[in-house]
Formats: sequence, structure tokens, C-alpha cells
Amino acid sequence: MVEERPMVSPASPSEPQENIDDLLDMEKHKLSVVRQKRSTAFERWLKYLGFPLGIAVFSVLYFMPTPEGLTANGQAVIAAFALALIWWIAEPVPTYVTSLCLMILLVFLDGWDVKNVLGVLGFDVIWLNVLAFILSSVLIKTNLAKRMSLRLITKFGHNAWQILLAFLALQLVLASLIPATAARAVMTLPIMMVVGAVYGSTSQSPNRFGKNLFLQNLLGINIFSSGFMTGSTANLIAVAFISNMAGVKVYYTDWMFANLPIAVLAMLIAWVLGPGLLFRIPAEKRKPQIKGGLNALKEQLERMGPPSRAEIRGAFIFSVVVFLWITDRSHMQWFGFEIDPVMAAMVGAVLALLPKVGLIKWNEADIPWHLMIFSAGAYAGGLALNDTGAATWVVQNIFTALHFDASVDFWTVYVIVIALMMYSHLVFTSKTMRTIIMIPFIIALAQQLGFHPLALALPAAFTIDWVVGLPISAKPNVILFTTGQYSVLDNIKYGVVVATIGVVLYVIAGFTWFRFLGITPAL
Amino acid sequence: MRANIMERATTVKILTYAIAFGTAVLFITVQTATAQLSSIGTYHEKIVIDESGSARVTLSLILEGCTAPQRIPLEYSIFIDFINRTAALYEVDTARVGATRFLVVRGCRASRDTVEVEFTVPHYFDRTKLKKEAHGNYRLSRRFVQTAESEIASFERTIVLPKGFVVSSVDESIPQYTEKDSKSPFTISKIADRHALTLRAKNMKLGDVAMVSMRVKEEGKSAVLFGILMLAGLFHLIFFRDVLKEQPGDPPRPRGTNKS
Repeated sequence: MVEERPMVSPASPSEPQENIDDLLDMEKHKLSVVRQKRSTAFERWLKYLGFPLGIAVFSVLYFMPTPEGLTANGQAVIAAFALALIWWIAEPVPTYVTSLCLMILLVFLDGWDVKNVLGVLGFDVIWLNVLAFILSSVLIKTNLAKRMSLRLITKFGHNAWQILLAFLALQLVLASLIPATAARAVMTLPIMMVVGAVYGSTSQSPNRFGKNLFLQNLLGINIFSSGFMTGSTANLIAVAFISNMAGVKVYYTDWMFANLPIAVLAMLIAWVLGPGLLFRIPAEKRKPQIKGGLNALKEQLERMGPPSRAEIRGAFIFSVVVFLWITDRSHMQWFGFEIDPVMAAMVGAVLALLPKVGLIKWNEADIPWHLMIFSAGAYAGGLALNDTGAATWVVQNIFTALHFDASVDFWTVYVIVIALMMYSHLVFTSKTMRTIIMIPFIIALAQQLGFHPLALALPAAFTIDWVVGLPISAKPNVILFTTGQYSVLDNIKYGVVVATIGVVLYVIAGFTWFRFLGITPAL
Repeated sequence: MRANIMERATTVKILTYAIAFGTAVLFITVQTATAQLSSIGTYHEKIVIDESGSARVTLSLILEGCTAPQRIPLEYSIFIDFINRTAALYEVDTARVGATRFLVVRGCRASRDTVEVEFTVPHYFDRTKLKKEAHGNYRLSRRFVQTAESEIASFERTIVLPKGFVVSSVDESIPQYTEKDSKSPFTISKIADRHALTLRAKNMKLGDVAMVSMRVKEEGKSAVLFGILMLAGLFHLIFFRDVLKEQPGDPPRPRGTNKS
């Protein structure tokens, strides 16, 4: 149920005044309630001009003659997606309304079939979103999320920097255990929500701590996956291409040894950059926003006493789901089939909703449907870009426009390949599709120019999981965006800046670390 | 009732194809005993469709090790204005076996030679007989069945659309473009300012199929849509100016949020 509600005003701007019981009462910060945002003068201008700007860009792209190599459908999808992207950023209409407009445009302009467009609401990522919020509701209702968060904060959360670092460490550990990025997002989401609330950031009144917390976790979930060869299926596909086309076998430890340090370094830079520069947290907001500060939280934790029966049941249900996520490689041996991360979450949701056994009723599940609609529309646009070949056309045209020939220097090609691979996630919603199109192309390019394919393809493969620029770039992005703690523009800002830092790090690594490891050639 | 008729029509169609294909295979098997084996290095076909819907087809073949009459499969049952561009070197004729038509190349030499022929296929894309689908699309599906005894190492078919037409979408192709393939079997390009699609297949053996099914339409966008969009933009600029004003009843902005 979605209801429009004015923004809740925090008590005082300077001093932490919130009552701990009010702050941690997540019933008061329901995600399904659409918040009414207050805008700055810049945002109001953006809103005013964004609408006609979106229409103008759409008109230019749609009404121009169909470019060579592109289908008419692909052209329509590019135009509609550009309009939606401008509207998501400027927000002249709510993001979910823009998504609905995008879906209408895709169908009306013959960009994508109506069945495909409507079918997106049944996609695994949307299901995972629904199930994630059911599981989160269990952890919140039973106070388990509150207990875990209080423990985390009283141990590491003396200030915002420490708690953000603690989350990074948590995501790094989880990345090595659970390959499914969406599962990691689901697992940590309730803890993020409670910690955000302790620092005064709720979906009704998000603050800069909330932006840092949720966006940094988004970065951590995705970028730490790049540290492990098994971090995503796309990584394994890239390794298979390198093995088959370039004849070089890449082992798990080769990958981890080469790329994990870069992933960790990038995240440490992001950790400093977010709260220190991009979404600067004022000094008074770097402490828990509750009367009595950390001591009040410690007292609250003590007051909670030993875990209740409901908490233990909640922990059991969640453990079943986590167990299924961690042991996915053994499912075939145990059950004769593999349990998909979405189905594992569904098992947990069923247990949680069962009468007597379960812990919540359907009405208690806080599901932000308006944001599911945003996700479905945005995902439809992204998938239509893939399906119509429009995304491939954009990337291939950039490569063609560069006119590489035999005289080109390796490092020029290296920098361009890394940058193109990194930013190509802004037009591809599928890591697998991006890998399948880009990696063989890069290997062929290296062979054609007389470079060792590994020197270009492996560093390019390391960037596959850096899908951080848009709320639709990957499943965790979609899940975390639905908390309403940050805007599309916030995501682009943090994501693109970190992706750019990634390009710089990979270029520096190409000259140094990768050379030392024998991946890139000597100067 | 209608379903039954459709079902029967499909069965008859399948049976016709099966008989035609069987006859062709039988013909080839018998001929193979007398003809020396060779291979078709390339089978490149360029189909230029004119405004009337007829198509001028240019077929270029590279024959390797051909020392006997060579039979080349053709998709078209009717064609006119046949020209053999390599008449000085080869004699090229046509033969029909059941529903399958072949080009018969005589005078082959035991080397790698090129044969080029041209002909016109009337009503290749006859829009008067095709159903116009939603958004002004016409379906254009073409299927090539490899019925030659020799393997075709490289098959390429380029369909150049009539002037002013554009490819809306490619719905199906054989070879398929799957997530396992790194390269699409078809490419869309422009030839002499006309949109074209090229389908490629490799190492086609007897019975293999190369197929593409696409939707094409006349290029041209709705002026009404353009007008509506412009009006919507203008309407927003005029009637939504209050967006720029701060709402009087708004609560004070909390410090520490990015929106202040």
C-alpha cells in the first residue's frame, strides 16, 4: 500500500535529539510510504528544465534517420532510455512515473514487445526484491536486526567512519563466501536500515550518512566480487574466453592475487571519498543521532536482554536462507538440483509467513511497490537496450571511431580498453552480455594489433563487476535503491567517480603491479 | 474447425518440403557416383530489392577442385533476366528437381575459380500480398537449405532493402545468436544509402539451413507524436513555473542532508 506523506522533520538540526525508541521503531519509517521531498534551488531548476530537456534529447535521437548498423527498434529504445535517464536524474516526475513512461514508450514506439515489457515485473530481480523485504521485515519485527546493528555499532560504531569501515569489512568477508551479489545485498539490508536510522537516516528523511552507508555498501558488494574469480558468472565466462581464444589458463589464485588488492584499495579510497568529499557528513552528524549517544545504545542493548524466542526463530529462518546461499555449489550433490538464490529467499519467506511457525503476517511485510515499479521499468529499458542490439551498437561504434591500427602504442590501447570496459556498464544491464560482447572483441583486437591477449583481456575482465553507476546496473543496485535513501543522481555521482578512480587504479596497476605479475608487458 | 484446416495445411506443407528435400537428396546421391567431389568455397549472394518488390540477385561462387558439373542450390523457383558474368569461363544452366532448383556449372577446372551470375526474382518482397503488421511492419523471412553435395565453407547473404525502408528488428536467425556466441551471425549496414542485412554461416553441410526472419518498415516518424511532445514540453514550461518556487508549508530542511 503506497500512501503520500509529507517529510518527517527531525527534531533539531544540530544536536542529536532523537529518542532511541522512536528512532529504532522501524514501523515509523516504512519504505512503502512515498516521501515528499524538499528540494534545493538547483534541484527545482533541474526539475523545471529536466522535463523539456528529456523531450528535446528524445526528439533528436528518435526523429533523426536510423543510423547505420542500428535497427529502428534499437533507435527507439536509445531515445526512450535517454529521456528516462534525464527524467530519473532531474525528477520532474517521480522516478516510478518515469519508469511507467519508459514502458509505455518502449511499447508505443515498437522498441520492445509488450509481453517482454510487462514480463519484467516477473523477473528474478523483482522477486528477490519482494522476498528481500519480507525477510527484512522478519528481522526488523523480531528486533534481530536491531540487536545485530546495536552490537555492530557499540563495537565499531563510535563514529560514522568506523561503522562505514566495519560494513566494508563485512562485505569483503561475505564476497569470499557468497558469490550471489543480490544475496549479499539482501543479507545486509536490514542491518543497514537500522544503522541508518541510528544515525538519523530513514527513508522519510534520508541524510548524508544514509547516502554514504547505502552507496558504499552498493560499491562494496559489486567491487569486492571482482576480487574473486568466482565472484560472478561473468568472471568465469571471461576466464573461459581467455583460455579458449588466447590459450592462457587463469587460476583462482592468479585472479585473486592480481585483482583483490586493487578492489580493496579502491574501496578504501571510496570510504574516504564518500563521507569526506562527495556526501560530506557534518561533524555533528558523525555520531549516533540519539539522546545519550553511544551509552544510550549500550543501555538499549542491555535492556534487550537475552535473545527472545521470536529472535531465535527469525535467526533460524534467516540462517536457512544464508546456508542455502553459501552452499549453492553442493546443492546438486545433495538435492539433485541447484537452488537459485531467489528460490532460497522464497523458502525463507514461506517459513516466515507460515501460520504458527512464521513470524509475520502479509500486512506486516513492508514492500515498497512504487520502487518495484521503478525497478521494473528501468530494467525493461536496460534489457531492451541489450535485446535490440542497441547497447552493442553503441560500444562497437566507439571502438570503430577510435581507428586502431598496427602503429598504435600498447598503453594507449590499454587505457582505452579499460575505460571502455569500465563505463560500458552504463549501457549494459547484464554483466554476462557485456562480457560476451566485449572480452572476445578485446582478445581479437589484441591479436590483430600484435599484443598478448592476456595483457588486455585480463585487466578488462577485472572491471566486469564494477557495475556501480546506475540503480539498474546490477541486482544489488536495484535492491538498495528501493530503500529510498539516495537518488539516481547520488548513485551516478558516487558510482561514476569511483569507476573513474578504478580506471586510474587499473592504469597505474598496468604500469606496475600487473607488470610485476607478468600480465602487462615491460615498458 | 479453423484449427483443423490450419493443422492440415501445415502437415501438407511439411510433407511437400520433405518430399522435395528427399528427392533432392536422392538426386544428389545418384549424381555423386558420377560427379567428382569438390567444395564451394564461398556462396555470396547480394539481393537488392527495388521499390516494386522485385529483387536483383547477384550470386558469386568460389568453386574449389571442381572437375565435373557442379550443382549449386538456389532458393528461387522463378527468376528472369539471367546473366552469366563469367560466361567466358563457365557454362551455367539451371535444373529443377522437385521443388528444388539448382544452378549447374559446367566447364569447371581443377582450381579455385569464381563464378558470378545475376538474375531478377519477381515479387521477392511483394508488399501488396504481405500483411501489414503493427507499427507498419512487414515480415521478411528468407530460408536457404543447403542441398548441394559439396560443403559450403562460407555462406553470406546480403539483403538490401528498398529505398526508404529500415530493419525494425531481427526476430530469428539460423545460425542463432545466443549468449554462448561472441559474434552475431548477422550485421546491419547501409549499402548505397539503403539499409541492408547480411547473414553469415560457416561450413554448411548437406541439409543445413541458413535463415533470417526480420521485420522491416518504411522509415518515417509520426509528425503527430512530434507535435504532442513539443506541446507537452511547452505546457510544462508555462504551467509548471511554480516548481521553481519554494513551497510555503514545507518543513525546515534538516542539516546534514544533501538536499539543502
